[in-house]
Amino acid sequence: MGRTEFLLRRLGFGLMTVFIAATINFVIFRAAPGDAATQYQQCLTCSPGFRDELRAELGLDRPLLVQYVLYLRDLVQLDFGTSFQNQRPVSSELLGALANTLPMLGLGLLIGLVLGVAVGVLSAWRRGRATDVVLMSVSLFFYSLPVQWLGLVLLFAFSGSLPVSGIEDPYLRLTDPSTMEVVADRLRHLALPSATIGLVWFGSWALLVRSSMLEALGEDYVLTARAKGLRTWTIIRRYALRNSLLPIVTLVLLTLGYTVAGTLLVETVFSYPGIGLELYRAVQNRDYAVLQGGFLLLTIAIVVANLLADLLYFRLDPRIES
Amino acid sequence: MTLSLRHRRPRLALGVISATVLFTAGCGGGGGGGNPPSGEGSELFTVGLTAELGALESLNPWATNLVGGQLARTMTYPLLVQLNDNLVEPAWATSWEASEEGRVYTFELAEAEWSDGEPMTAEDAAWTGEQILKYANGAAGLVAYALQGVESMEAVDDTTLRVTYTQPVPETTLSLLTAFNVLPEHVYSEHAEDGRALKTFKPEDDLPMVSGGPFIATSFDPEGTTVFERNESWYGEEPSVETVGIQVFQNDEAMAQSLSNGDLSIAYAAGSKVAASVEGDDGLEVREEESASVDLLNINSSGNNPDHPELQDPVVREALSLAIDRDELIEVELDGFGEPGRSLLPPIQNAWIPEDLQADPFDPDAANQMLDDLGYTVGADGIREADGRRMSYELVVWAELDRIAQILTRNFAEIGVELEPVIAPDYDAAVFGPDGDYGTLDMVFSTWTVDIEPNSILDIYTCAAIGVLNFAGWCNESYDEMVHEQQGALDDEQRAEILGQIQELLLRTDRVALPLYHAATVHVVAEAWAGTDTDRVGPGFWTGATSGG
Amino acid sequence: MSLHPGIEPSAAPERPSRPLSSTLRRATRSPAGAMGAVGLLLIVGLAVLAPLVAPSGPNDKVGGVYDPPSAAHPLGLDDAGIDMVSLLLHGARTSLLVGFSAAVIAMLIGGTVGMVAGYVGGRTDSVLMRITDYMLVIPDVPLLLIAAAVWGRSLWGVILIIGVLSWAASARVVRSQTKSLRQRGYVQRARSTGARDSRIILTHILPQVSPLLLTLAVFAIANAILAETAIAFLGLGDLDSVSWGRLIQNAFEGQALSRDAWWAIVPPGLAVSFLILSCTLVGRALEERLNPRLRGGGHLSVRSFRIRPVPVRQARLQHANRPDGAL
Repeated sequence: MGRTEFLLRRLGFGLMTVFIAATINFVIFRAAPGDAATQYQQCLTCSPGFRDELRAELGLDRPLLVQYVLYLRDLVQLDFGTSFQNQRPVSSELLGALANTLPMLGLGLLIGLVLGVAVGVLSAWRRGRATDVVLMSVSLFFYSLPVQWLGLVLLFAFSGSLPVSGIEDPYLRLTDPSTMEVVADRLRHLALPSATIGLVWFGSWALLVRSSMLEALGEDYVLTARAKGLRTWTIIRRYALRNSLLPIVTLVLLTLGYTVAGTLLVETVFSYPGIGLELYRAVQNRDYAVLQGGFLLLTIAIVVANLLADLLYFRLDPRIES
Repeated sequence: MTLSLRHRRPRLALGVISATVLFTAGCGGGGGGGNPPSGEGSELFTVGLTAELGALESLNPWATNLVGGQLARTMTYPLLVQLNDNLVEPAWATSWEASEEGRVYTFELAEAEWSDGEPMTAEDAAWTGEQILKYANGAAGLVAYALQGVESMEAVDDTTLRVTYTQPVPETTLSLLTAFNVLPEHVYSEHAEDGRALKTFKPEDDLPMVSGGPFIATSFDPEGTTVFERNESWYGEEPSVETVGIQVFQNDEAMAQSLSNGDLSIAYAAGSKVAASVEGDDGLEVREEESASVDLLNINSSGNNPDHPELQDPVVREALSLAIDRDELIEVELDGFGEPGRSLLPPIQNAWIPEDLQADPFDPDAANQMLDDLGYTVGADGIREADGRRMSYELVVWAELDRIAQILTRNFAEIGVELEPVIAPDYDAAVFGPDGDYGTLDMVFSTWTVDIEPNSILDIYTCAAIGVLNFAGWCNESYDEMVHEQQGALDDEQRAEILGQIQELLLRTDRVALPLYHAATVHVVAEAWAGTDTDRVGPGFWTGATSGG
Repeated sequence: MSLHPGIEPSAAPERPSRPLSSTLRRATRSPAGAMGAVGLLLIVGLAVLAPLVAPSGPNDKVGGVYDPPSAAHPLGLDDAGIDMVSLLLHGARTSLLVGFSAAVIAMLIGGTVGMVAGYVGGRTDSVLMRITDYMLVIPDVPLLLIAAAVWGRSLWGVILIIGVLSWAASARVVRSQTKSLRQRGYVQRARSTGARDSRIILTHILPQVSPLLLTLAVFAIANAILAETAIAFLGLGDLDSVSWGRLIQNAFEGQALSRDAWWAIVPPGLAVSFLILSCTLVGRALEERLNPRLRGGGHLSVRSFRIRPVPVRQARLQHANRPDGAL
């Protein structure tokens, strides 16, 4: 099958996935106990008619089929509905939150990648020696840590010296800060959450990079290079690393789907107002509108990431053809 | 002022009601150490709230009833009156007169203008009142209680407002008006085509908003920090604090850390957990206020559950009450910040609780004796049988109460009763049951936070509240009559007597609900702001604040 | 003799005998694997003996809130005055129960789907793999959150959710192996004698696939335990039982940090990592010892985890393992 056809198939698959996710969304939440008005069930000072008014306002009093159709129609127009909590559009809430998460996640993945590659390469280079064993043990150890626990430990350790919540100092802007100060403030708030993510991930990448390196080092062209007298480090740099780079990036894209859990947990621990915390709050508040939107948004993001990964696969492996 | 929380979460301090952060002069250096952004800490007052209590969902009073929003609104929208340690004091109204034996109240208002220059007159107040009354059972459902019993509001002239009630009311009823925020008619009337439009209008989308209070909101973040700056055109005494920040924290831990780092002037209604974790820290003062809340174990009194007729017996209920270790509940759940549940009325309403009505003691031996005397023998599995039925009951709770549920389960096991906590995301469905008649209910937990007026909490157990807030499903005509009677009682002694009878009926004769504990309202104040008068509700709060030596 | 992993073996006439035990035997020769196995056995042993060994029950208040470690209570007390050592021991049972049960569910579903798809081929294969692909793409933790929020919290609910959301990763691998096994001589002979497909799968395919299933199961156990800690931390776990995940959550909710109660935070996390580490070591040892011909390619360990970064396959082996263009 040709490349284009393959990509189109993948695109179709992606769209189907999104549609299925949207429908699962709708069904789950309509079947759920309670709705937007549930939060007012124990309100001592609310008028009895208020809950009905709220339901009518959010369109929850219409027949299910009507709601489903309207829901799909809104989705196509990228309208994700209104939050139960504060009656703001879900899409702006989620996108704002996502904008907060991306730098943190990006920095964390970068840290994990850099550490992982460094450790993996070093381990492969010093294969079998003490360095290798120690590095592998450390990698495995961090690999096994529950991410929220590591976050708590870091919070404990750094609570005096680094900010442990939020994305910025809320009162900084009152002092008319310079751009540098703002950036520095943001970075300080990013430090712990990103470090947590990076530390938890570098382990598995280190393991992967190490075995990838070892395989690469066993290749014929490497034997030739050795025979020519090139030093191991030069070999690593010139052949193995360069050849592994694209697969590693592809791997990162593919694993984005699995970062959601880690992000959620880290943002909860550090009260970092990203999409993870947004979802967490929505769960606590039974804000089904936000949960629906978030679920869908994440599905879309993962589908897109997978598509990108497929594109990269093509560049990577010319053997892929029908 | 009943700042009621719509959530079922306990500990939603209504400290706000009897308290409110008050910036008052304090001595000491700086705004509590940490990072005061400006040179002198005295210019910035930082308030911390937890999200479940204080998320500032909107500055529109119709949209939200969380404490954060209410706090914010006392800064931006004028109140007719304010509270000082439960006494009603003038705010925008400089004085008032009652006529027709308390059916009509005429308020004299100070000359004022909104922050955009428009005159602030009685017309704004009357217009706001009219809108609320018009949509009281719909879109204005969250604020209508402030005008409970009000028949009409009219502007006699620019500075005179006449409020007419449907029947005469004592002056203490005016305390409800601390929840009545006057809205700028010229801003809101554009969105007044119906109640829904009024409710969904967001003044915070257009900052700086038009304000009639001591401060103006200049930046808004419902889950982060909202900043307020001094309103130069405010009619009252200029606050010495230039800027106020209300910061919402997602969890207790973050707020505790912030307190420890000296970043907050006050953690408002911080709760016992935060207080316990910072107790003993330098530079912080934990302030425990008299509780305005009650946590209860309601027992199904509708008579519609065929499975456990023995639960209808007041003797069985008394035994259950004696089996509860309230001290342990207070220690574990409230870190000691509370007192055993004495009555339906919380401690701030002490004046209305009879002296001889005290919390049940912890006496499992007596409880066991009582059940033995009834002939309910203990089976092989340690659980008693009442006329062939196992004494195994379900307790409807919500998720955060698992520690309480654990303790209660253990307590009841000691007297041979099995308790099964059931977490109900939809409380109404679990309590009222599929047929709406309380047919499947055994017991249910509830918590209420109220103000100084007993009426609202007494209404919960009336017949009218069946299927709404009456979780025990109890309908008793003489109770309803007495509640109505005490509402009209103009003589305090007479009223106290009726209230005593009411509590006797509810809590001793029928034992409809077992009071567990009263959670104290706990604030944590930075030492520099120690002069804060947490007893005030209203603009007087904010105007008195200064810090620094 | 190891064939290039990209080429499907076809002509081996005899089936290897007792594949499961030979894999195990080889695995135990690895020092890391042995260490992991010891660790695993230790925890399982403690969990099983917990009611006998623990100083007190998981609900017994024996002191004040967050009492520090003492001679009587070497790891102090938690926010309800309960002994931490007892909590850890009782918690082991719940955590292991969740881990094993969820892994069993995942293996049952994933194994069945994989074997059926690989053996039957054709339309069934396509459909099953399409379903598997959807399961792989849909973000699991939000779905988990939603399911728990909507249907309430219960232990078996949690186990079911974890199991149902993690079978997809193993299905693919089992499928590739089944496909290659199907080509074997003895399988072809069995088919030609007209034996029923289900019987063939059970008697010929399953035993050969079992080492792979075992390896996948070990990783699935680790994954499930991590998933449980995540669910518990987000406040959606079972309320009646104590698990290590719940202990970490209690520490967070009860503000152990600002009360300097490190004993409530550190031990549960270390316990979890110890268990995960043991599983990982055992799994890696098993994986390395899998008969290379039967390996699905890539690294199973990193493949099976869903709460860890998981590269689905190494690009190098992409071509060989990619059926009809689907991912």
